[in-house]
Amino acid sequence: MSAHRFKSGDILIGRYEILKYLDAGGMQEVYVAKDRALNRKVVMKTPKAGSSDKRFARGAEMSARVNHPNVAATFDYFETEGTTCLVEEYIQGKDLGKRLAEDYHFMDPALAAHTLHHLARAIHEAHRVDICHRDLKPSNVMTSDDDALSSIKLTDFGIAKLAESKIGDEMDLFNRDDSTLTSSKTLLGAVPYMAPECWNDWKKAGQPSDIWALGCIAYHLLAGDPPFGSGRIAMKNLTLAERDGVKLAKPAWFGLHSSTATLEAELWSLINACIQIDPALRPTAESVVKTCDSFCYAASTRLCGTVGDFPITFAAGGIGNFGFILDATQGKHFFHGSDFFGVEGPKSGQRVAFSEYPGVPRPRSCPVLLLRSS
Amino acid sequence: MLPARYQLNSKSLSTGGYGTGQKVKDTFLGRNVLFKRMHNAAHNEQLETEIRALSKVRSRHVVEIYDVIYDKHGKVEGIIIELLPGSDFTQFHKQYPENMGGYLRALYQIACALTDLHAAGIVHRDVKPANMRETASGVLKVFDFGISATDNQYVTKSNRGTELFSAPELYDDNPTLTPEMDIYSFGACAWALATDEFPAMLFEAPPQSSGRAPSIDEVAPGKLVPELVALINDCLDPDPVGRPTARAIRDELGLHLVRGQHRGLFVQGSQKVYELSQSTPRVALKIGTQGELGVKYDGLSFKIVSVTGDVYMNNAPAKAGDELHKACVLTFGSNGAGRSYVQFVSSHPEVIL
Repeated sequence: MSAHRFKSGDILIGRYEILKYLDAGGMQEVYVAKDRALNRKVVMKTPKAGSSDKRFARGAEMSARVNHPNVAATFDYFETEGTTCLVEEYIQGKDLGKRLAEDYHFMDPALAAHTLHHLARAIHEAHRVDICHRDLKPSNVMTSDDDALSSIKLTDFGIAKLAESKIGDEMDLFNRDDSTLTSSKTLLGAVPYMAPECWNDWKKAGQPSDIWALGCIAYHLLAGDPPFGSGRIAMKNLTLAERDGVKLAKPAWFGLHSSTATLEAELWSLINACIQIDPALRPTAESVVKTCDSFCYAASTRLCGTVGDFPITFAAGGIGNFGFILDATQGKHFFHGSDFFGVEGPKSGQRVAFSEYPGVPRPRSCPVLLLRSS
Repeated sequence: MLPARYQLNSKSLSTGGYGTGQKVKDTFLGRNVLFKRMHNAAHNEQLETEIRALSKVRSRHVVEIYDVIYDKHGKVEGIIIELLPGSDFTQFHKQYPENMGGYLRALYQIACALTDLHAAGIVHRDVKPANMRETASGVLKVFDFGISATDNQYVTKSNRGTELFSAPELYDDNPTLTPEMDIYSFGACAWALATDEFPAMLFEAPPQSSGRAPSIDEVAPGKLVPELVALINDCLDPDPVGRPTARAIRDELGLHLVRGQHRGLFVQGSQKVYELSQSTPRVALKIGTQGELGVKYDGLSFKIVSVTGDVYMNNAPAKAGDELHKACVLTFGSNGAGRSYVQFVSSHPEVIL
C-alpha cells in the first residue's frame, strides 16, 4: 500500500475522502473517493510519482470539454500536496479491457454492435469539439455492471494528453534501443490499437488515428484478440500490412450463425473501412455513427446462467441441437445450439449471458454468449 | 464567497423563480459553468434541496452539479452547476407540428429524466419547459431542483410549483408529494411544447374542475399518432391513478422514435428467407402443405396477421394478432419428423441521442 500516493481515509482539500485504491494505469493511480460536499462517490485520478506533469492539467481541461452521455463526466480538478488530481464520475462496473480478460472470449455481433455504437458516439462528440483521444484502448472504456453493458463511457482524455508526451518519449527511446518495449507499460498497452501514422511520427496522431483504434477495438471485441496481435508481433504485422496492404483474418466463428450473418457482414465492412493504412481513406466519426445507426440488432437486457443439459436426447431416440440454461435460482431456459456463441461448446457447466423471449414450455434464449469461467 | 478559482467574466445573469444564474469560468478546468444563488438568502434552503437532489441522481438528462459555495459562516450560498449553452424550450411550440421529431425527442428525454429521478426517489415538482435546456451537443437536461422532494413522505404546505403545470391534487390540504405530480406536469409540458394557447380548464384552481381538458390532438389534428395522443391525455388525468409511470412513457416514446426503423429477418437453415422492413412490410411464409403464416410490420412491431395449418412460435400455437418475439423460432407442421423450422430475428434500434 505504501507504494500508493494516498491511503484510505486521507482527506484531500477538505472535500475528498479516499475510500480505496482502485487501480493503476501506465501513468496514473486511480482511487474511489467520497465527495463530502456533494455526498457522492467519485473516481479520483492522480499521476504516478514521477509522471506528474503540467500536461495532466491540460488533459483535465480537455476531458472537461467533452460533455456527453458516453464520456465519463469530469467533476473537478485540483492541486494539493505536490500533486494534481482529477475527479470524475464514478461508474459501477468494469473497464472493457478487464471485461475482455475476465468475462468474454469474444462478443456476439449484437453486443459488439451495441458497444461500438456507444463508443462511436463518444468519439464523434470528442472530434466535434476538436479533441482527439489518442490513446483509445479497451482499458479506457468503462462499462456498467450488467450483462447487457447498458452504459458505456469513454474515459481518460486527461491521460491521453499525458500519454502523448510519455508515449512520445518512450518511442524515442524505443527508436534508439528496441529492448525498451517490454519495459514500457504505457507503450505496450497502446501498441495493439496504434495507427501506422503514429508509429512513423507520433505527433501526426489525429482524428483518423482514433478511427483506426476504434476499428481495432471492434475487431478485438469480435475476434477475441486485437487485429495485429500485441507487442513486437503487432509491430511486425503492421509493417507487413503497410507494405502488402491490410489483410484481416475473419473471426473464426463468422458465418456459423445464419441469424446474424447480415450484422456480421456489416460489422466486418465497417472494421475494414476503419483499419486502412491511409488515414485519409478512413471514415469520419460522424460517418461511423451513421453506419452504426443503421445496424440491425436487439439490445435487450441479458441474464447470466450456466449451461445445464446439452444436447438433449429425445425420449424416442435421436439428439436435438438444443439444451437448457440454469439461472441463479435454478430456473430453466431453453436455447438452440445455433444461437450459441462460444469458442467451444455448448456444454454443461459453461457460464453464459443471454437474452430471452417468451416460449412454451420454457422461455427461449437468444443469443447465448459463452463467458470465461470464473 | 466565490473562490478565486471561478472568474466572473460576464455580466450575463439569468433569473428564474427564486434564483439567479451567472456564467463564470472555472479556471482549474478551463470551462464555463453556472454559478447559481438565491435572490434572497432566506431562500438558501432551496440550494440545500438542490444539492441533495442533484448529488443523489445520475442521469444523462439531469444537469450536473460540480461544487458548493459557502459563505464566511460556512453556510451554503451558491452552487456551481453545468452550463447548458444549447437552446431552451420555452419557444419550442413555434416549431410544432412541423418539427414532430424534435417534439418527440424532447418528450422522450424529459421522460428519461423523470424515470431516473423517480427511481432515485426524487420528485422534481417543477417540470416545465423553462426548466430544461440543451447541452452543446443537443442533449436535453432538466434543472432547477430548488423545490424538489428527495424523500417519500414529504408533505408540502406551500408552493404548488407553477400554474398550468401543477397537478390538481396539489390543491388538497397538505398533500404528500408523489411522482404522479411530475407526470401531470409532464402532460402539461407536452401541451406547452406544442402551443401557447391552452384550454381554460388547465388554469382552473384546481385544474380541470369543470371537466377534462380536450385532447392534445386538437392542437394539430392528426399530426400526433393516436397511441401518443392517448398517452399524453392520460398524463393529465385528474385522478393520479390514471396516469402512466415515467418508465412507461419513456418506453412508449422510445418505441415511436424508432418507428419504421426495425428490420425482421426470417432464416431457414442457412438461407435468408425474407426480410421485413418499412419498404417491404408484409410476408406470407408458406412451407409445403404444413402451414402458412402471414406477418406484417406496422412500424412498431411485427404482428401475425394470418395462420393456416399448424404453425408454432417458440412452441406455442401461433395466433393472428400475436406479436412476433424479437427473436423466435417458427415451426411449421405438427409431427416431429416432418416439421420445418424458420428462425426469426428482429432489430430494435437503440434510441441513442
